[in-house]
Amino acid sequence: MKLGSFLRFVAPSAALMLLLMALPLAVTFFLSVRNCALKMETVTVVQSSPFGQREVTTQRAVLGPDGRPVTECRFVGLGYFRTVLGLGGIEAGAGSPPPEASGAGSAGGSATARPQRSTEFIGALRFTMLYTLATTPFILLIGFALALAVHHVGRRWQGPYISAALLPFIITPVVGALAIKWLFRDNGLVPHVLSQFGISVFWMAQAWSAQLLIIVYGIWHVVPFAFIVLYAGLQSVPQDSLEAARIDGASAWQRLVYVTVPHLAPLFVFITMIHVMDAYRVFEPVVVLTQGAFTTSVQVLTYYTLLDEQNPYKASAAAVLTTAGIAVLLLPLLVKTWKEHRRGD
Amino acid sequence: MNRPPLRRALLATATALALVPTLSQAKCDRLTQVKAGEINIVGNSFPALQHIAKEMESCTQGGLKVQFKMTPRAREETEQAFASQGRSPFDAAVVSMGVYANLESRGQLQPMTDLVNKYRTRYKLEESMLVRVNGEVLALAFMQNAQNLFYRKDLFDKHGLKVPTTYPEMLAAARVLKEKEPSIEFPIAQTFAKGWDSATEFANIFAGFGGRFFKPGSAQPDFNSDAGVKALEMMKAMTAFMTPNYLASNSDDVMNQFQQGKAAMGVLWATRAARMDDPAASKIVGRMAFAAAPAAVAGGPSATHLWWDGVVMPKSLGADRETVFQVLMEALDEETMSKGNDLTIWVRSAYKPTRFGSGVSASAKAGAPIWPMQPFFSLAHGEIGKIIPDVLTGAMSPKAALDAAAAAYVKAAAEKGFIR
Amino acid sequence: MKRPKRAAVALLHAALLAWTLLACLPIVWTAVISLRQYVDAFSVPIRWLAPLTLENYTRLWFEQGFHRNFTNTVIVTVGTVTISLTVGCLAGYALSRYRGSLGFWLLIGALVFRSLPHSTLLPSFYVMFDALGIRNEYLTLIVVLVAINQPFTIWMLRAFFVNIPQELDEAAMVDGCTRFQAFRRVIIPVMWPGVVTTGLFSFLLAYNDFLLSSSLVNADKMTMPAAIANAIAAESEAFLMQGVAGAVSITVPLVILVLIFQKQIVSGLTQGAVKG
Repeated sequence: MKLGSFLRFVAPSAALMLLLMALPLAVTFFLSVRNCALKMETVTVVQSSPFGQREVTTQRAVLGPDGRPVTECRFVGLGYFRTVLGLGGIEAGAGSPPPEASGAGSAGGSATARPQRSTEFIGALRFTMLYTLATTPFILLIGFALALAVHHVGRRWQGPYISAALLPFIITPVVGALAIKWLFRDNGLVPHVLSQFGISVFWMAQAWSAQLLIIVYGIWHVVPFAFIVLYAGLQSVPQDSLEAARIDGASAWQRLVYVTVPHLAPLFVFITMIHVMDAYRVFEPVVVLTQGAFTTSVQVLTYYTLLDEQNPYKASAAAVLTTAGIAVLLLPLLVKTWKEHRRGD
Repeated sequence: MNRPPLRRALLATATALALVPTLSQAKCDRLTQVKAGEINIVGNSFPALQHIAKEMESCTQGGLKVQFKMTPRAREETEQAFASQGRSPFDAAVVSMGVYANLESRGQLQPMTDLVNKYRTRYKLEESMLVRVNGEVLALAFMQNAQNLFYRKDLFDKHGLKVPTTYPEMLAAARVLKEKEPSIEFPIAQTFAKGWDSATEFANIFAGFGGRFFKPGSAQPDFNSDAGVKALEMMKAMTAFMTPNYLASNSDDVMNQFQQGKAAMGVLWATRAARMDDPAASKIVGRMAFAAAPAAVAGGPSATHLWWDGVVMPKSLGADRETVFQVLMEALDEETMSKGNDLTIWVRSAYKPTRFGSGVSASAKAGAPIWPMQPFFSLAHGEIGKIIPDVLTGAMSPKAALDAAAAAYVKAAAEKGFIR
Repeated sequence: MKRPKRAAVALLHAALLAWTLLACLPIVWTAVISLRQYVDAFSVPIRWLAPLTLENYTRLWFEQGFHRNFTNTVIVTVGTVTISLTVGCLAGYALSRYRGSLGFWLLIGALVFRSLPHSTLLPSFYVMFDALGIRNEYLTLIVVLVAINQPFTIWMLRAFFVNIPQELDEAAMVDGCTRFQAFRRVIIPVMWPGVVTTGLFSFLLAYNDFLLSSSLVNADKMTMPAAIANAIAAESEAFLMQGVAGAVSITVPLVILVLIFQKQIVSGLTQGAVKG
């Protein structure tokens, strides 16, 4: 295909992605190297409200000639990235934090002995890694087992089982997370049943159970995806290889391990890649199931940085770091696709 | 038949609402100099606002189309919209005083003094509804709220307990109930969920200990003081009487614990009180009583804060200023209020207080302060909310956690220009 | 394939049933409680049997106007899927036929974009759409969802096209067809399985999207997930139950669709992405 045709064909798709994803990402990056703040001044004002009137000293934005607040922007380079990663941060405009507050600074690199709170971003990354490592093996194993089972169960039953198995994947994530929360909450179905056996667990009360909840949700939600992909893959295992193996006297188990699994290997890789990328974006379960206690994720962090701190610049830095991290993770896939591409597929 | 007052009120509201088309035509006919077009308003999602939103959306006079967007993300959407450089996508917003404080400090609010003066008599606007800064009206408050004490009067009477007026008394009562009352395993239910909820609990109890969030006249933090440590220790003491899932307990969970008769006391939002008597939602109809939030120490002020919610307009609104104001006032007039009298605690003097709102007035009388309005307060609030779980689970000592939060706050405040 | 013994088949059924029950339990329980009043739905201790009522559904659909949300979802979803598939097929075809490195970089870039949290795209969207005045329009939301969908779509469709031998369209071009005419000849065999499978993923993304759908439009254009989330967060037990009813309502069409299309989905995956 000539370059001209190629460009014409991909133009709509590429334009959409560039405009609506690359451009915001670039803007995001641009934002993350600057710190913009409103110019504030201390004022004393008289405030009235339904609760009365009082005189208060507070801070207000300085208004420019057009009646709009004056914004001061300055270039901070990698300052926000350092803040997010806990390696220091952007310096305050003039002067460092006053003595009373310093000496107890969070992750600021100070050598004073005090409990070190790892920054939230590192914590989010750590949890994402835990989540990925804990969920992926189960997703692949259970998905594969399901695929094998449905494959062998007979034509009549495949339809209903496939539909039922796909349910956790197609359900709206908000709804799915809530559905699981209602099962595990105080006196919900699961604690109730467990208590009949004398086991009493408060799922949101400690780290291990809260994290387990998120992991359970992850497995529940993604197994259907693995299942359907592997099931489809099973349909395409070359029958002649299997026949040949059988004639050679291989047992069912050996056929599975030496013919089927290698054939499905690229699919295992594919599922893992997609899942790892999605793990960074875990959001609903963390917020809905645990309110973020004991658990966090990069997406939750970015979202709350935007929301609570109202700091789009810091959120941008977190987002850029996330994207960079994912790009690093994708390196093996990159290399593989490059080789394929060069080979001519 | 002795119908509970809530049922009667709901029936009345339903009947009234059914007549809304007829009534609202007469209502919105009062609008003058209407500029046709679309008006977009944003607000949070709760029953009183649903009621107001319906009133606003029924204004179709003169080619108007009013759309009220109710979303749990109202805070972000409002702040983003009001900060827009061009036309704001929303022409008005219903905000809590916390959000108002942020918007006001950034100079993003449209002054409404002239409009208030012009329409004051028509809509019977009262002085207590007007939120002014140096005399300029920047918001119109229509409802109040506070977290006050909910307690099971029947259980307290059964065990001879008096209404707690301090937190230590509350803990003592909880101990009695935990030991002696078989139906209650976790006597206290309170919103200790990580983040906003628990930080607000801290703010309330901290204020009760006489704590000061910031050094006077500056943005330097002072919440890592003794009062802060005491507040966290009090919260920790309370967790012994709460469900172990307290770190995920938000208002809905606390409500459920009360309504299912699983908790006997707690400090919760007054606007939720009416649901205690709804048989479709509650198993303890008529058994919950309300009082001022307990003080942190004997003789101290009620350990809670007073809130108001109101309407604001952005400086850069797209629709016609006067039309928007009138639509807002139509939905906040006496008629709307009386139709939804029991939905919240209205600011208007014609509001008929119910027993559900009694906790707010009691807390106010007992000296509860109003919610801090410094523009940098939400930063401190956010940082505190992050460290509370660590303290409550014992992973960090209160002092160390507060110091860490203070340092993080200083960094955030410096980034935003509050600390130079 | 040799026929497994009866005992083995029974075991398989048992295992599959066990997993199916576990997987569907949260949803089934949600459906059960959607037919109850709040005091019974979230009762402590759990009530296995309770008075049933349809009021959550009737109130949701008729009083709260959920049917409008349903219409909005249909508009947004149909729009997203059709545009996404059209644009994606063109790109997927080109990516399968082009040898240069530009195609490679496009694919990799798409993959990186797919992993962006949507919340970080929002501020830019706000600014862009406000400046153009196109916020709160169906088309804006559709275009955004299509763009977000493109990475997955072009990867999947490319895999389908890769499996169609190049001889097909090359022969057509030798016969004098333009590239586009050749494309049309090649698209036919790929159409049914590829389009259905990729369409399903597109559909799911548009149907289930919450963050963008609730942020970029106002009340009258809100889709079902956004309306449900609003109802659940509305500080009212009645609205919460309506939200629960909404959650069930939104799942039912999905279940029906999967039941109808599961054969095509599987055959599509078999023929396409799986090989690629």
